[in-house]
Amino acid sequence: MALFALMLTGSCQEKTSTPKILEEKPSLFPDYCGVTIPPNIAPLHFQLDHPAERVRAQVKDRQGNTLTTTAKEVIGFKSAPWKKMLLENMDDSLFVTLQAKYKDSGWVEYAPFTLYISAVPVDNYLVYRLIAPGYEVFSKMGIYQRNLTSFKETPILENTLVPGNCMNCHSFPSNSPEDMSLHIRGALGGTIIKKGYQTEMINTKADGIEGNCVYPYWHPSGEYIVYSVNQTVQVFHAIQDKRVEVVDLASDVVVYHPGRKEIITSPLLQTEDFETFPSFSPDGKTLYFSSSKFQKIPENYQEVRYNLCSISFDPESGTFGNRVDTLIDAASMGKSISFAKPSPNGEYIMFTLSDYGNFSIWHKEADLWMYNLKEKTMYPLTEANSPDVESYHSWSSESTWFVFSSRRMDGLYTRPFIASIDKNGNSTKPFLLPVRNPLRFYSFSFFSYNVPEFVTDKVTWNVGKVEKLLTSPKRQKVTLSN
Amino acid sequence: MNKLFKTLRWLLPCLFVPAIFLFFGCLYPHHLHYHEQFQLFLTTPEYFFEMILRPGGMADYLGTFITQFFLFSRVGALLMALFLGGMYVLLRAISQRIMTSKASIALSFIPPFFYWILLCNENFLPGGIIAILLPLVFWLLSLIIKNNKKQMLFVFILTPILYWFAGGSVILFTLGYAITQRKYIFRGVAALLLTVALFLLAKVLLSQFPLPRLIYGADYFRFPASYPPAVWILWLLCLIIPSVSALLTRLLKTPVRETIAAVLLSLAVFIPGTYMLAVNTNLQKEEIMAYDHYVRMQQWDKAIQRADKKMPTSPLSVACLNLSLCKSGKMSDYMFWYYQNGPEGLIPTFTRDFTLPMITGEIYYHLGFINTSQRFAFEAMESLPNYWKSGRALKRLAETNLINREYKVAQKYLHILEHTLFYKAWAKRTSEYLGNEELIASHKEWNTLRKYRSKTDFLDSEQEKDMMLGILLQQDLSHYMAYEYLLAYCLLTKDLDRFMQYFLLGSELRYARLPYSYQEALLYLWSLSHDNPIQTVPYPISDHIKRNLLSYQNTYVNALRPEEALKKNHANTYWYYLHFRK
Repeated sequence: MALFALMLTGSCQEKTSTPKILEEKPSLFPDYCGVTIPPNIAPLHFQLDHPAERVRAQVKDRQGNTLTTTAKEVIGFKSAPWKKMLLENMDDSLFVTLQAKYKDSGWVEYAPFTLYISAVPVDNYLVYRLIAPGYEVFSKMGIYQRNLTSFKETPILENTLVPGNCMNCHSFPSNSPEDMSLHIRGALGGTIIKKGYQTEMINTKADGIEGNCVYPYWHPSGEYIVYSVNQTVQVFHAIQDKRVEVVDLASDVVVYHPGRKEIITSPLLQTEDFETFPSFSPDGKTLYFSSSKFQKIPENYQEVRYNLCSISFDPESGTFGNRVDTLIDAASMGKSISFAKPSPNGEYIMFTLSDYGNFSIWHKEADLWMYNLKEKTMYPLTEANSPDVESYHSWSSESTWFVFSSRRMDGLYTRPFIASIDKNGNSTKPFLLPVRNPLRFYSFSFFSYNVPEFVTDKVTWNVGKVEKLLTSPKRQKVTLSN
Repeated sequence: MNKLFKTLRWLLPCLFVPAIFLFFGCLYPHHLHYHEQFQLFLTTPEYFFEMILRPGGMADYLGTFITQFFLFSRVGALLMALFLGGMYVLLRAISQRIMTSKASIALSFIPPFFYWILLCNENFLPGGIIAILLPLVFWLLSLIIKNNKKQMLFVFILTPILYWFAGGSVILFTLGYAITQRKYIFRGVAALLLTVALFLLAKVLLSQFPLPRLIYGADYFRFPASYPPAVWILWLLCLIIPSVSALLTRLLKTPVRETIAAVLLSLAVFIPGTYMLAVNTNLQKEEIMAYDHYVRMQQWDKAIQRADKKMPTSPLSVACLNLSLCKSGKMSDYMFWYYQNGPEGLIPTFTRDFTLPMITGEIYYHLGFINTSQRFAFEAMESLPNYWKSGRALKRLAETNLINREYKVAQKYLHILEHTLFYKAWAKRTSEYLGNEELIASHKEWNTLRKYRSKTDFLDSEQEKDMMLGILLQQDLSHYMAYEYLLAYCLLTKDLDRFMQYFLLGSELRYARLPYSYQEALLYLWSLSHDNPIQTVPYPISDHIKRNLLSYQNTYVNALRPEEALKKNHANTYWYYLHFRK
């Protein structure tokens, strides 16, 4: 009994011992110190960069409510109290205090860091492709959807269903999961178009068009999909900092009308120059795209520089304007623009700026930039950028949140980061897509996250029907509009 | 007669199991290495759960666990012998449980023999044995249970579990149970219906797999989109052999007849079986795999010794031999002593598969084309049709990233390799090099490759390998491998103008004497434009080669069929290659 009492006392002393207070903030993986997060995000799990024997975290709001947890390694929170805490503190900050017990120095307490809870929720789902960051060959891959309010990830389509085939370029109109476009490449190649509960498989190679439709963007009405038609090749670098260059031998922009199965073209978008990565404005009346002067490939691949251009589009008649405007003359700055994505509220266009070319994921210098459509000014999203690659990005439906792919963690494997745009049009500090055991998960993963796209709800479709469509030789042909 | 049967009973397994061991250990060891390099067994729970998420996944998990031991071919051969022997033991025990039969002793060897023959094809995976053994074990256990109800319960409870563990081969268990239920046909039918229901349920739960894949279950074959009928035949054999045994016992009513039948059946199984094994054994592939293994392990002398015994002819084997010769400092002297099949036998052209890039990547690695080597390792791994990863490729990726100072990516791969059984120690040692420039500078291989790799950017070109080699050499004229490969490329493409042009770049390498193949090429070139080349040649050509050329010229001019005539004494010269090899 006495021994038990002694043990109990010892234990209490351990718990109540005063930790040494440090002035520095903890070094965490993922770095969640000072990030802004949506109120509906899954619990942020994290761990110290330097392993401790024991860690203790306390999340506290201004009202004094706390959420505490202890762990050997990974600090995690239960979903229900986390959500409650976030919802009660929207548009306010939470203060996280971390205590760690180290073998040599005992318990220490780091300076608290904040988590700012935005009042604007992010779209509930994130859709991405998981694929190894390879070259010409691909192994297992798939299009997956992640419920951002929890840790649940489910496949939309995996190439286990159709071995040896590649899938890419998933796209949704205005973040809606109802409609979707998805390409399959390989023996069972084609484009799957999902419109509500209807799914069809089409061959987008129309007579008179030099190739299949590639990079898609839906018209906000859901009546059209704009695609670029690219003849792409890969070349490979010899030096350490560079690996791959993906370049177009030719590229044009076309618009597809799924209802009529027609391709609409304009001579202004089918020039000798390279036109690629198209997108529609939120009102559907303007088509943005990247355009570069023609260059001989591969000799002059470093001279290919894309400007941000636009052309008007009439959704009623499905016709284009008669003039192409250059919004940003990036070529004259010795830069190149890709992935121009207008914000759903029509205020901004976010794009990737690199030194040349359009496949910015292989360009370490690639950064995210913003174009203010009202003031016609461009500026870097400094808080979101890193010394490594920032490339593909997309907006959440309410124009506050955006997700982007970055190779900042190890220089090769692309990871999705989420950030918000503040009232001045600047980015808040981005946070890595939360997972249960982040360090272990990301360090064991052989996959890159490709083309992250927000959708407001879960994408549902009949995989059995998709399998039948894929394995059937039938592909609906599209025709060129007169 | 009974004595003869007793002899057969111990003699057959005693011949069978060691024969498998000897086959894989001595004749086919590099097929085992081949299997090992195209998989990556991780000791992490994540790997376990990823593997067992679909029917047959546990068999695949155990299969990859076993296959990792194939790094040591003798251990691999022993495991193969034990598992195939185990298949025989189980089938024999099942047959005996159904009805004691002497005559059928040899029949139980048919399925393991059949799988052994299948394994002669490098794309049939050893893990498939596990998927067969599991239902056989449970079938035997069900037969041990005497109580009918308990047996039924055992079957109905175990069927879903076994399906998840072994995949479609669960049919051996349920159909095996069904055929023994003569009094309770309904139970047998119910067991079968349950199996079919499980297949359909799996398709509902795992909609991202095609139904045949879920029925097949485990990875018997490297290409998951293919469903070789051989696997269905194997299942059928495992199923019918115990029944045939029972039938034989009924037909052969006397012990004498049974023993005679046993002897005849043994001959009927083992003679055609051995013949089929011989027919299906592909020693040409084994040769390529052997050269690949020597290159992987940097056993250059072994590769050369093998070539001395039997000249390799396939481009991949020759490419490995040339690399071994070059690494041993013998290429420029002796490459034409061996069969050469053009530039493809020096640096094979990239193809989208998992074998060739792995081998060619080795050549690029040792030449100092670190990015190309990295790309080839990555592509080889990603080309694996069953979507597995490769320990060998991952190791190379870690090395190339380390050499390229991409320490975070290298760390990722090393971290993964630290969770393996046989790459762990290497990964731990290599982790110490991460970011430690001094330590890397003390590493002979990596430091040399850092020195040799390209400092200026250019784009890889399969069509202009000589240009790539030339760029590498121009950056460091002491890079003897780049020099020798460049000149070898010119010699093999018979582009002697370029050979002359590049030959002069070798002045920094300070050869003690001119390598033989260069002497032959130079003398030949000189002879084309000079009347008395032997006397006037300005290069230090040995008297032996001068005499050789005269002899060669004499035969070439005078013989009716010079190719045949020169083969005996001059097949090992560059001149013979130049004139007669396509």
